[in-house]
Amino acid sequence: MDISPWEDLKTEPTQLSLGPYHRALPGPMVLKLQMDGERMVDVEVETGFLHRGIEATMQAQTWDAALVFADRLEPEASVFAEWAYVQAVEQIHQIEVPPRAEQIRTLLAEMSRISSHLAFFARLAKACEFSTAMHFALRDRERWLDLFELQSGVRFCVHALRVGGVGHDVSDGFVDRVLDTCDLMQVRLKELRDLVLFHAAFMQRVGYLAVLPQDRAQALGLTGPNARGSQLSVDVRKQHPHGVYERLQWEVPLGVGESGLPGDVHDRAWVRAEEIEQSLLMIRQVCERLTVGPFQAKPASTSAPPSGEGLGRVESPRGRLFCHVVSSGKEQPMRVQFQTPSQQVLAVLPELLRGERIEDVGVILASFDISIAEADR
Amino acid sequence: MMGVEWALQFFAVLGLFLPVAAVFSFVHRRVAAAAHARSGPNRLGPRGALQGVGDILKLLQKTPRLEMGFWVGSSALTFGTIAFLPLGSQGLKVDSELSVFWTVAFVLAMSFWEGLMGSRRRQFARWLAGLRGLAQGLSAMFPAFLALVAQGAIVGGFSIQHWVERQGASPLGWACVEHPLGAVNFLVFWWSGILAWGWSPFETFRGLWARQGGINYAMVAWVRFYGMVSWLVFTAAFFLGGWKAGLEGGTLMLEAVELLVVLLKVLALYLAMVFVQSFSLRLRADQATTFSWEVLVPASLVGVVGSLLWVLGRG
Repeated sequence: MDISPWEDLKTEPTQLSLGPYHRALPGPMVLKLQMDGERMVDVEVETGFLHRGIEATMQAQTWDAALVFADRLEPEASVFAEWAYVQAVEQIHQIEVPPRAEQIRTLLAEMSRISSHLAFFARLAKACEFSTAMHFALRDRERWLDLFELQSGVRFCVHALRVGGVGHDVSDGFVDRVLDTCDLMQVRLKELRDLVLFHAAFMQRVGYLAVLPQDRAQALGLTGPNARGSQLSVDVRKQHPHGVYERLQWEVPLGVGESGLPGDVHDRAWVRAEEIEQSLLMIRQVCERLTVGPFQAKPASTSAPPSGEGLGRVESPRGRLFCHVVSSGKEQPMRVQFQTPSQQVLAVLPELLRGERIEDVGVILASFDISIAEADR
Repeated sequence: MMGVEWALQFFAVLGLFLPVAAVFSFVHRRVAAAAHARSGPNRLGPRGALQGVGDILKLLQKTPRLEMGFWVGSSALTFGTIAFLPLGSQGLKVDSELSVFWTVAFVLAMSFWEGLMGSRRRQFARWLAGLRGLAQGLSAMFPAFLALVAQGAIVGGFSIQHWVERQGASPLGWACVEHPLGAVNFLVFWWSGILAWGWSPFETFRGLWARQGGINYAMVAWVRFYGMVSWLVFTAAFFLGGWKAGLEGGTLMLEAVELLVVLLKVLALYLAMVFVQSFSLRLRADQATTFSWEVLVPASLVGVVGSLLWVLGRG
């Protein structure tokens, strides 16, 4: 029998389990890895450790009280789950939302997007052990959280929206502070780009890493900045305009392959920086065109809606967020369902990680900005 | 008598390095905090100056079980350098015709020791980390060795005493300034040390570093600090004029001045490293070794070839 001289050097794949708590992971989850040397040849994802039964809990609440639990879907960008839920309920109620309320919703959503993207940069910098960039991103995010505190009294889980409008009006002083923060952020954004995106070592570290071509992103059903980083132009704000997005001048940024190939880790970060720029543009336009009028539809909805169903869809910082609500005409919603972008990424994570190196797991996961809270619900 | 003198020097250097470690650590944390736009240590002692002491005391209370093999081996290897640490004209106890290469041998020994320690517990992650430490040490010491060869060709010998004595006290007389190739050799040698000792941006998870906690981690941190600072002492001695202060004589005061001169040069190099660390990210282990083969080794080869041509041209 002819035996290859290299036969003795063959090794069996190694099993490695990361989680449920590990610094490389975005939250409580388990990655069961099969390793060939330092490369992952097979990946199994186990989630559900953060399941809080949000949908079932919402079904046990009254229509207005359920909104508080929508906040908890993703505390970092809570406005979006609220918005998707109230959109669905307003569809069932057939409520016409006042223009000022729509403007305030858009304003808060874009502020929330900037805050969430800055947290993304902090997490990515942390994954790369780039502590200065992490601190800079967190410092800038504090400015936006201060504004949420000013507007709603809290920094996370803001509970700012209501069925038919928003909980509180915004004052002229608040708008001035938002505009001041936009001016500051414009400067800080350049700093962030120079410090992170154009940093030679960062480009070398993340360029050509975990490349997701456009056709694969489409086939895997990815949305949001992860898809746009792969040059797939999908954005709910353009395709199904809500709020006042239709009346604003803005563009959908796409990946450009600045330091490698389109769709790599660098492009996913690049797109988010561009989105911060576009959000600043939108916030300025909303603030300048803020109309005078009611911020809540009259009468405010507290009663049971008629039987029927509604679908709310918004473009959250992580991608397309759906909320499907069914009413049986009672005091509580009969069914509340969310479809979240992080859920979609987790579903295709084995394919995304296969063939990559173990040392890059943290960076790749951070680049997809997965929220375990919204995936597990 | 010789043994007593050596023992005294050992404890003197150890006694010197402990406060130096505290000061350097405080400066490091303050500079890093300023770069991060955040408050640095500010709780323990005046303006947080005793924070490092507090951290050590905290670590000493944790994980009381010592890994004796780890402690003895690491201590022996690191403090073995004390005899030839060029801290002053009277401080160099051992020297030879090839003493500059002891630096490289010392780091290689540490790397092999790391690899050995990494494999000790028969854990896959530790094996991997140990091998990484070894690979990183080897890839860093190859260009360092070439830089020393190149510099030796210029200087005309490989003795530490000779290298320091032929430099001037003024910066214009330093080896890295007086000859164009000296600057290349200086940079290669300095950065090889940063790579070998795993300081940012080459702060890879490896060997001794892997999965240590409490009191054992305190030892890791100390070894790592001592290793890096002693490498900076060698760098200052070989390329930045060493202890030369422009003074003559053999008094105790002169020795203190020489020591201060060395420590100030080391602090300057250390601060430059902290600055680089503050504005860089951690490279992957393979990228760290690639940096050596693609940047440091070619640069050191330029130094070697250039030095040989210079020597041949000089006749």
